[in-house]
Amino acid sequence: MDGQRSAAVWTAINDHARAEGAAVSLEAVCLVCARTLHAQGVSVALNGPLTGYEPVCGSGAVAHRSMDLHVTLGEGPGHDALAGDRPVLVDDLAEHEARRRWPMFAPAAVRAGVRAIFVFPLLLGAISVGVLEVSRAEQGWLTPRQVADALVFADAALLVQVQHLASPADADGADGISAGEEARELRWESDGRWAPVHQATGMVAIQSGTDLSAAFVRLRARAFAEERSLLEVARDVVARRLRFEPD
Amino acid sequence: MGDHGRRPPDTVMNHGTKVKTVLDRRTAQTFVELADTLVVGFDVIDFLQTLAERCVDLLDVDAAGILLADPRGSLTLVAASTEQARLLELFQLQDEEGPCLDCYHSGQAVICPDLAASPQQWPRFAAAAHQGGFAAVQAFPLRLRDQVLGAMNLFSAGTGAVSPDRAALTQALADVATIGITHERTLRRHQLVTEQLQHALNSRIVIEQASGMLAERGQIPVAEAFALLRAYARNHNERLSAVARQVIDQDPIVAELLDSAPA
Repeated sequence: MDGQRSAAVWTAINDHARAEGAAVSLEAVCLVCARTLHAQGVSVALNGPLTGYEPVCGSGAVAHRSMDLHVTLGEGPGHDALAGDRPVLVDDLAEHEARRRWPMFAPAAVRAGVRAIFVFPLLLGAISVGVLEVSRAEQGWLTPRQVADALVFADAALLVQVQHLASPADADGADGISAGEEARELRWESDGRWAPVHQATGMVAIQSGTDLSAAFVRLRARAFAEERSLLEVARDVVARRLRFEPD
Repeated sequence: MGDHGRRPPDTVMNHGTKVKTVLDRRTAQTFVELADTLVVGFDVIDFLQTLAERCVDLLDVDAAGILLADPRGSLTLVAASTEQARLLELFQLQDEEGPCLDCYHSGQAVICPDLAASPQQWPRFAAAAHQGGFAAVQAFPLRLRDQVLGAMNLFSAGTGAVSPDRAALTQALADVATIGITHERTLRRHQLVTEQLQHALNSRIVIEQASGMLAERGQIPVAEAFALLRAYARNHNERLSAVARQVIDQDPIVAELLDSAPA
């Protein structure tokens, strides 16, 4: 647990986007994540309506190969993380335990050069949009600090994706976030995880007739527009001092 | 054989012994109850919720909460004996300062028998606790060998020291919480703990989101919506998180839940 460390990850993501002159994209999250964790590959796959696992982007050829294997074999740590709503961390795909869990995926991934894989779901309660996968050529665990960093990268990917889902009309333009939000730093303060935020998300979903992820984006947009913290706005919703109207 | 261990009829039990016997029995019952839930239809948040409520019954305190450390950088409340908003904020405040945060960082129990005594370790927290009607506080670590997963936090309206026996029982209950979260007493790998911890934290978020949806549907306070979810899960022998999911999926269960609300 280290708030400063997590702030450093957000800064690295935003600095990268600023240097590129673009809004934070899933590609950017993968790139900065790979650099920070010294991973050979980092990729994001989304919850597809048909396959349940839809590769969208990755840094490095190996990352793409690992996603392809997930799709063609229909098994792997990525599927398990999506189904189980939890991270799936594997230090050695050549080990017996991994071969038992994924009899097809594990040996194929090792042949493709992936020895360890760490999958983090893009998850916020019942909002589940996909997974972030970190792969390495060498066996061995991530350190607790690297795990903490990876969780923040997964948060960043979640934010990019829910904002994209909330405004698909802008999808043709920027790589995820609408033009009006480009100037905005992507960040998620730790008090934004407190209970009232999740309760308010549920309330706003009903008030505005949307799903939870769109409700979450609306709450964040309101906090941003009013220059208040997400927690403050959420408390107003829970206390019924603030209502959201249907679109 | 049947008389084995029975107390001779001439033994006079004093009041203190009686109280202790009753407490021992309740303690035993609690451990049995918790062990049962660990096996059948296990739901981590429901389990921790039960544990928090039993802590209040057994430990002679007025409120109890269980906080888990999210590696992203916060201490998050996952279960509390009551849903009073003011109390919940006291737990949350400890993401910044307070006995829970100290306990989490040191891995040691933090017992403060009188929050008003100087020097004040946590001025903001002490002021908020006083306003909430609490005079004393304890925090016990949820430990798994060298790792601290979070802390159990107890509040009392009155001041007073905690006996070593009571402290030992509290730590035992905190250890039970750890077992509930990790499912295993001997998880070999650090990383599996991360998987379980994230799952527990996320389960709580699902329940908060469902409580919000239900509260808005029924135009009731969020705390009441949570109580309805929990009562429904208990009465129908369903997992709390499963009921929450059904609410989020707009299952017909919503109408049934709201109908079950006391008029």
